[in-house]
Amino acid sequence: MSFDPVVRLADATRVHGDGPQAVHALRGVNLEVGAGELVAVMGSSGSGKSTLLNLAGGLDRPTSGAVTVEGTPLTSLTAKELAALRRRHVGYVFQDLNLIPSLTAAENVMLPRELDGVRAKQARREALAALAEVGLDEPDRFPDELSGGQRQRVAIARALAGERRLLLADEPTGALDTPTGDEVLQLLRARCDAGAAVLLVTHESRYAAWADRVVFLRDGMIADSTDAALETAR
Amino acid sequence: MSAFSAALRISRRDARRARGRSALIITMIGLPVLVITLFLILMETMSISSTEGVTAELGTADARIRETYTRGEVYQDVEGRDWAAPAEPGGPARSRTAAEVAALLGAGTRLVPIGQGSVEVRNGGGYDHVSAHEVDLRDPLTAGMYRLVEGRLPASPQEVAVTPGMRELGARIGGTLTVTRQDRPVRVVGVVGHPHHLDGREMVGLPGTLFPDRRDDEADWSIRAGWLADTPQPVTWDVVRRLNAAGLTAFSRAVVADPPASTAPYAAESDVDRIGTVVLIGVMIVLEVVLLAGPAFLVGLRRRRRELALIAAQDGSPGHLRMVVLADGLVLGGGAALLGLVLSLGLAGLAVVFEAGRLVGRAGPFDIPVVPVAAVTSLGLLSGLAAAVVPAVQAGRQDVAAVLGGRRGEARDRAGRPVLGVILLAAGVGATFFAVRLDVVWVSAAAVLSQLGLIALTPRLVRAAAGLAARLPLPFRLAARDASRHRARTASAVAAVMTATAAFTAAGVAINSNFADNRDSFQTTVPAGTLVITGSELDDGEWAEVTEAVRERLPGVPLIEAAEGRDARGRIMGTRIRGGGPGMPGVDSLPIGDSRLLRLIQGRPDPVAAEAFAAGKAVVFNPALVRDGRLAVTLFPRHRGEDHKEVTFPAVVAEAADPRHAVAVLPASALRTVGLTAVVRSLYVDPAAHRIGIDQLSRFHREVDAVNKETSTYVERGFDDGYLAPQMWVLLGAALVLVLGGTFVATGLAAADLRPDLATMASVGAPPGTRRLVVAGQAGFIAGLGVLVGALAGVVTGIGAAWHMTVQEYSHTFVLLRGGLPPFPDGEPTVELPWLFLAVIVIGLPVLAAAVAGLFARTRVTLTRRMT
Repeated sequence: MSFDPVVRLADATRVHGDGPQAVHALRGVNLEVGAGELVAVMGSSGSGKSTLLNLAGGLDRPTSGAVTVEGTPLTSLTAKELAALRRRHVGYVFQDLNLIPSLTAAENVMLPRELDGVRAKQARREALAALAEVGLDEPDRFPDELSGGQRQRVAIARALAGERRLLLADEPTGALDTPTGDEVLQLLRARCDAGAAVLLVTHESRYAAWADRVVFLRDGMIADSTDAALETAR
Repeated sequence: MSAFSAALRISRRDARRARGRSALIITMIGLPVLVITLFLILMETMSISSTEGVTAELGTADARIRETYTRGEVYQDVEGRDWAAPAEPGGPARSRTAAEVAALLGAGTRLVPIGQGSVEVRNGGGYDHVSAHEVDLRDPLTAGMYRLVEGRLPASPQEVAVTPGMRELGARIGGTLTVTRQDRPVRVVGVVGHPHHLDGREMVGLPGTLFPDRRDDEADWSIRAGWLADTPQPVTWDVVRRLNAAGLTAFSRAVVADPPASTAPYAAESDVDRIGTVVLIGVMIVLEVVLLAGPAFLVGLRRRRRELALIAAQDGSPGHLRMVVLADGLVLGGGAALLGLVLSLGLAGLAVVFEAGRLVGRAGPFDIPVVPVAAVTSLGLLSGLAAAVVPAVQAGRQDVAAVLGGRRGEARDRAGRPVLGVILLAAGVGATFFAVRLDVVWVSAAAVLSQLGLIALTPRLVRAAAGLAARLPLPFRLAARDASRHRARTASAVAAVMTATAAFTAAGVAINSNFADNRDSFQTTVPAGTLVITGSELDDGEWAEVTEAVRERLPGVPLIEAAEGRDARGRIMGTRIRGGGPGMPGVDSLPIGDSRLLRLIQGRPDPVAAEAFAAGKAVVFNPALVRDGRLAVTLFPRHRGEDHKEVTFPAVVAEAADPRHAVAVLPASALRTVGLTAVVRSLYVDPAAHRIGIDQLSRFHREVDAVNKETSTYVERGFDDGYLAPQMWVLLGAALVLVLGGTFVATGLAAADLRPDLATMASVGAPPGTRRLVVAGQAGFIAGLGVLVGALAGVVTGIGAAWHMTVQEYSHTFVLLRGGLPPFPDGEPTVELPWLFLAVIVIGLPVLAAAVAGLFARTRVTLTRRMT
């Protein structure tokens, strides 16, 4: 793998609460994802998958340790700078509630660019291009007029609009049926091959097969890591 | 039934769990109930109803008969307190004798004379006016009218009893008071208490002691003679009507105990309007409460969506879900109403225990007006139920599977009832302009109709406004779209804001226009600050005494004399000028006098005008009044006679320092040319030469009044414009509370709904500020739309009300006297929009609402992207 990773977690620890009620969501995790790499994170409920994703995207801060995105250490950034970093470098795709229901598909994709101050016309042009790339040709529909698979396509288009190449996906297929889920994974893999770095949280080993690397989390620690372990299942 | 009790149980528990929301709803419903019932109970307690007041009024008699000024037929209300005569009285009536009255009541009647009025009591250099009764309290018929506190009852024409309040005037048992203008001394022999008037100043003496003989003073109708009647049979309404036919009114024990169904043809004039006002205020309050509480119930619904879905999953039908939400309304509305009622009863009880009645000088027995209080309490309960209706319908329609699956499970809101709305709105606007001819209350009632129409239209308005927002920057566009998506919630809040704004804007426009009308039509003949002493009724000798007294009290102060015209028969003639332009009402008596008077009224020295004035020309300050160099004046007798005469005086036009108080000045010499004699009966003191203080004025007034009571002394205050601002501030404050309150309830709800969206925004990199702007945009959208539409509606209503108020004064008499409808008011209304007030409401309030909402918006992100 070529290095200079897109995202790097170094000895990242996240503790919620303190005293006897303290919950160690993540304990000293080290992880790097490079461009063109799809890393799957697996583990049972409460193993720390979502926390890992939140730290990687700067939605949450580690209690100790460091997170670096595109060479920028997140520790010293203000809330505003973190938001700017997410706008420019990070895209999220969740299981559901990805899209803002009162904005159309195109407007949802435009959102990060618009927030970044790009003029509406240009943002829309970019959004239409991004939507075309993920195969959606109805840009002016509202989310509740789209199918679940289409909505995830829009979310992926948004996550990668502009020059962003870190995509954090949290169970993106959780609410979809198998064929649609497969389509979404295929799309993620394709974006990855086009140069994006994808961190995919899932608990379905079937999807882990699409990954370059699989990381197993247990009780907030990386229990095992395998390079393209399930290659044959692909 | 068991399903209902289960629903009630769920609501009760839930109300306890969501304390903040419950407290909010209970306050919104309970506070109006508390305030209104407390007001009703205190009013009822303070007021002495006719049945409660019987003993104070009658003693043990069967009826109390009072004389009126006419011998023709009169019509009275049940108690005989108000009455009306159908025709103008044909001159004053001679007092009736007791025998004449007894004849009307039948054989075996015993009459005890009783007079009521006021008496002058000498106090220092002047006189005080004190209520008084002339009656022999030793007569058993009067038992209970007063209770003897100390001393004994008066037994001779030289003796009086007084109430405790008279001590302020130095009345002591054994002491002497000097009463009437004749300065008759009377001895105080007792202190008596009135059953209801606790701190009043009253005096009781035998007949003939306190009041001057009526025949001496036929104009003084403030004194009403009468009798207490002890009759063999109860005095029925028929008997009362028989007395009315002879120009007498009666307060009868039997009639008060069993009032006639109708007192026709006498009808209390204001009843219809008063009932209309009460109903109108009630409707507005219920409407506002329902609109305000509606979103609060919707908050509860959102929070409990999952709970309701679980109930549905346990085989609950949509009807059951509706019932659960309606039970919320019942529990919270009922609880709030009950709490309000209990608190108001407690407060009223406390007020009675601590004799708060003393503060206002009146106290009746502790009374609960059961029907109105029950009505207000049930209205509170009903408001709660009504506010829960929309959420209940939504609850019945929610998508159970979606909610349980953790997705948004709300049904689409309908787009209101635009057709109904348009019809109601059109009918309301039409009715408003029809109602201009009736009364302000009917204008407002018509406005409620159009308000209901607007409420039905609100969802459409919300959608249209959101469409317009497409070009706004992202946070505001998002806020507007979201508001439009959740139309039930937004529309209810917008309607609440709109209704409140409409009411306060209408009041603001009406008050401001009425103020403008008063200001424009205000006219005096002398500058503000001038001290005026007048004595038209005095003869030369009396006027000389008054002038001397004034000179003594204002030594060295130049007194400017002014005259009035008398005709050959010695009648005082008024000098009337009409017109002179719109808003100029004209005057009935022009100042007449010498060059010093001209100088005072003109407010500046003007040699040209003075020269013309000295040559006998009138000086006129309004060019419109002078035609061909002459001023037209109508001469008319000020007291008796209908004849009048049009005359003209040679005139010049001049400029006054303040045209508002200066119309014209006539030189005394000009009167002779129209056959009048100028007689000085007024003195003016130029405020530039001497200003009299308030305390000095009241002493001066008492002293001059003591010299001769036919004089009047006053200081011209000019137009008092100080009353407008406080009223507008009160309106603005009330609008602020309701607009912000309504907006924040809905914005809080919107923010809760928006939480997942805000989380998504955060994940794509929206800074906290943008998220704040979205919440601010929500508040701004609700407040802005509500305030704008409300202000438009309010301005229309306000213009309607101002139209009525500033053009037509006594429209109701048309209904009473002529039957049928009064004509549409003739003439131009004064409409002056309070622009600053409107700007603050339309622009200021939404901006404030948005700023506050944005400032307090929660920007911490709670990720709710998965249900695991």
